[in-house]
Amino acid sequence: MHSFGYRANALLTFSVTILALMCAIASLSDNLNSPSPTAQLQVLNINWFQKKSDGDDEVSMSLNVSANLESLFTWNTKQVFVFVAAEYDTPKNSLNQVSLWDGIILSKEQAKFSIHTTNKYRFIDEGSNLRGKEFNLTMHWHVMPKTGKMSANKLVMTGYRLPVAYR
Amino acid sequence: MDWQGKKLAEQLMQIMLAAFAAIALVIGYGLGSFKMMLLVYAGGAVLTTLITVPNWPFFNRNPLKWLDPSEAEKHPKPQSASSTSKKKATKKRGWQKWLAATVISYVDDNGCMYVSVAKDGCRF
Repeated sequence: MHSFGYRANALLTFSVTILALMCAIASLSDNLNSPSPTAQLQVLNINWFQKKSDGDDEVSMSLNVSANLESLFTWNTKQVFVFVAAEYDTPKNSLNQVSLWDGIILSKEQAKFSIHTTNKYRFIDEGSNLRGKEFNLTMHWHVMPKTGKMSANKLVMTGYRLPVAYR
Repeated sequence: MDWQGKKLAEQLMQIMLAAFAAIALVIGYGLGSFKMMLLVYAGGAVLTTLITVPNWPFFNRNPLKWLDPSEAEKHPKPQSASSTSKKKATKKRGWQKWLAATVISYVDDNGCMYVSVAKDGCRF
């Protein structure tokens, strides 16, 4: 009952149990970190603004996205997915979210950035509600840990207004 | 591996793995490197395997010392002298005859009792 194989099996199961415990502790240690990310989202220019042939409004804009997400990174963070969304309400839907830009941050060194970009994904409203529409730019992020639960949060920048006329 | 060795191997395995896990957690958290934690723990698990899984000689330092059967026969178990047992003894059935074997017991330093049953020169 206490052969080589039994001892090897006992060691394997016990070591894996402890490994699971270590991962749980690593996951819990993330609670010691209280992140304080900052972000600046700016609309630099409305490049063009038009009604598509099917009646939907579409905007192209230049954005400046700068953020410091270093505090999101702990020893248990695999990567952070971040995206910028335009959020506005229409008579039909109280919340519309259109993703304009996204990125995957793989390390703490890349977590402080400032980029100048046009919208990576098309800003189209399903309808014709964008003229003169005020919208919020929101930075959302999803933290993917090495072990444990994913977490998500956001920062809202308020008060951008689209032009009243197509251009 | 003797019985003391089994106990030692089991305890060594548990204590070493727990200790390496604690060390790995401290190093991993201290350096801020999850990978380092896994490497330290993996190294500890390999070391524990090498120490506690093979049948090393130091697990065999307390071998069982069985009495020789001929030695045991010189000190027969005292028989009860009551008359009822004598009557029964005259009508032994087959399995009772089988049971009438030499029983050798041995108590080690830790109070563990080992029992060996021998009959017709065979030990069970």
